[in-house]
Amino acid sequence: MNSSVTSIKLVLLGEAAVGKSSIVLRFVSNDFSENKEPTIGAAFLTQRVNIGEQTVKFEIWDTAGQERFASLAPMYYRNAQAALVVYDITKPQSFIKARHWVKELHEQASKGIVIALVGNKLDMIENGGERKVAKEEAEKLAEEEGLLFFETSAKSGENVNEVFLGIGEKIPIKKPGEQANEQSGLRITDDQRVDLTNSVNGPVRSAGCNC
Amino acid sequence: MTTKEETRALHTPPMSNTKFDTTQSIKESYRPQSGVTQEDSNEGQGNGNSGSQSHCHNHVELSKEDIDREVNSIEQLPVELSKLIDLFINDLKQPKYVKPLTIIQLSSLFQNFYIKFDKASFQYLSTSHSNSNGTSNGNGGNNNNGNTDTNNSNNVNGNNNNLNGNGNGNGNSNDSQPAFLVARETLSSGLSGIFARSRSGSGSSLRRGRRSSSLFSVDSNNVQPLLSPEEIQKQLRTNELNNYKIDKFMSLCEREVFRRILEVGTSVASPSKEELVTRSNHQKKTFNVSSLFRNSPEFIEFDKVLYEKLHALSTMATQNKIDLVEFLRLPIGKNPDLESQEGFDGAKELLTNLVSHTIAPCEKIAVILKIHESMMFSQEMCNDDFLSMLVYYIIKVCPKNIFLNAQFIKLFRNKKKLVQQEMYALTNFEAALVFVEGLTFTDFIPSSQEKLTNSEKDILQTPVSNKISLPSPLKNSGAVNVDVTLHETHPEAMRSNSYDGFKYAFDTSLKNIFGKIRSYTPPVQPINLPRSSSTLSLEADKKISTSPTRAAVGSQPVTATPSSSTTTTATATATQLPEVWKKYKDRKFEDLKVSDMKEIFEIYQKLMG
Repeated sequence: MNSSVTSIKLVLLGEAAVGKSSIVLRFVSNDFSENKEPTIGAAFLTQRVNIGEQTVKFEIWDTAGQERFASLAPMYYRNAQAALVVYDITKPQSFIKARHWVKELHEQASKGIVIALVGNKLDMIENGGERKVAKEEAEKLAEEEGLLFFETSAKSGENVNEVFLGIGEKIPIKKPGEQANEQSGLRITDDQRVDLTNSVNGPVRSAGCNC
Repeated sequence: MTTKEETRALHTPPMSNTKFDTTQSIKESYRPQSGVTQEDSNEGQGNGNSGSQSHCHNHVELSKEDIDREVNSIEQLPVELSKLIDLFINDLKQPKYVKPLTIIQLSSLFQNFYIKFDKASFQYLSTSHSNSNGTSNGNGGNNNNGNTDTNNSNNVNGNNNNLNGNGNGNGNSNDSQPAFLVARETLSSGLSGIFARSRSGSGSSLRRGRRSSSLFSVDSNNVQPLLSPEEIQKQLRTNELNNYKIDKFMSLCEREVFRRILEVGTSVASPSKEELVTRSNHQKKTFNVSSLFRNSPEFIEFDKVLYEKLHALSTMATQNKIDLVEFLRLPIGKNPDLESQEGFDGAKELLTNLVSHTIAPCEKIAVILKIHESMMFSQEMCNDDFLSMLVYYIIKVCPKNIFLNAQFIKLFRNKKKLVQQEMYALTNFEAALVFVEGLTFTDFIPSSQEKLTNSEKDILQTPVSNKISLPSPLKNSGAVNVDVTLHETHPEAMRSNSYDGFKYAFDTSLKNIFGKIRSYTPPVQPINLPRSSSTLSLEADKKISTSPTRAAVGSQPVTATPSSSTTTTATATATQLPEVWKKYKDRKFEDLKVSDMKEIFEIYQKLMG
């Protein structure tokens, strides 16, 4: 019997107005269950999802997309287990920015962070708008960098849940036994949550003995 | 304690039990409907984690009224727990550190205390009913020691081994005794139980969340308690309520600790006259966090320079030299009220509350959450909106000590609770400050730049972080780590710093005797203690606390100013110790030869003489 809840900190990155928070709002409001946990607007949300036997609780952290705030992003993606890098398929500039984010995440975020590249505003194409970022181009980037890739429409909800389910599945699932024995690891359960960066928190935690 | 609670203990064999199969254990609190399956899964095994993680899982339905009645009505800490705070404060006041503690070291003392307090709260709640059974306190404590995590069994600690023996002996007696009696005995606690538990708690403190598995030591392999679903349900309810109560205790604890610090001041025993004067002038109602940062002047400096910058920006905005609304791209289109006086007044009140009218970190973080709430004009606000508004209000209101307050929350809020939206709000807040800190005049449009005076340009020349570098917590915790490792190997020795210098040269059993004589000091652990100088305190210790030597060493305050003259004296004396005397300081007792020991004894005599 295994019904532990695993918390996943997921950070949203992408240029302003690409629809980061719309995607999340869609995901959260689509809902499988009532989401009664406290939120901070659409900037901080939580959502529980069942993946197989596991219950995954996404803690979704929005970052400011304005360029002037870009340098603050590391404060937000610190300790994140997953990242959603969002661009607008009708805005090539936003895809360039997405590339930057992917590169930065690989260089600076936690090792093993699961990154999903998401081209949003699919509905605009379907309504006759012009696609400016080829799907192939994004797929190529995803393949090179080992990312999950989705094209979504936050407006219609197309592919939105798949993004999160995909992330939940890709994050390594620990067997129950391992959880008891291992302190480290990307995946953290609620009772271990603060301890992602063992290098930082480890000493503090282990300082507990006060004989 | 109810019968159910006792029986639940039987579900929980120690983790160190080799027969315990962790894969079989349930990783979260029971779901209401899982009563039957749970019994199934218990065949021959226990569930290691029952109840321990249920902070986060609300499978047991508790009505608001229940929580109100049972939890929110708690306004004071029980005396037993309140005592722990007394001990902690007393211990902080003990002049036992040779070097003043940096803020980061101080923070780790607090965090450790929170962990201990959390555990003690749990024990208090699970055992408060069983005290009346009259079981011996000491025994209860011992038994608790028997089942600490496997980490503990690695300790080179005679004391611990003894206790383990005790615990096992008791556990094995299962065959001949009714199971619940054993459980009751094992659970018996009282304060000494809590203390004894804490003493050997080095291993278990690594695993904060898993309370129940490590707290009860009963070998239940042969016992099959039969619980009806109702009983389980009732048990779950109690657990859940207890978790709420622990949360409540923890926040009361945070409040109480800092309220007490406000009362007693941040300086250590025998304050100089100067300090007395400043303290009497000190407004009792307001708590200035900067007093905690005294020994980490770079934080205070950073705060000061950041304030200058904020002030300059604020003035520039008032004089219309810069257009903040435009500059920050405030979501003015979405929320026209944003610039209104009302919004500003609200933000001003909250920010003032944050810096001057709140004491405990938990209160301060609540204010930061409130600030976010007050800024919210729509449920769909993204962080561009929040962050830009936050920066806007911080500049406009320009509160003093705002950086120190943010750091204070980060360092002193119970880490276990500083998660999720609290963590997010704090990160946002910090990000806003980092943004301001990094602003230079070149960030503004040329027409704005032209209007700036030279002094304004000076202030906005470079990011604050270019001028002042703050100690990285990473590096510091590394330093702490070194001591912690020692700590775990020689827990008894490290309880007090006073005989630190000799700790390698004395037999562990001796240490135990020392340890037992000394009164228990809660979660404080020595940090960065230069070993050489501690011989001094050994000497002082022998002369009983009030002797002049003691006072000299004693005035090493937890938070003394670095320039304090006593510090220099102590360090000077310490460096005068001949190098030869120090050569044993890193040796292990087991490696010493008789001749070495003789030499150590001679050194000891010289020291005493």
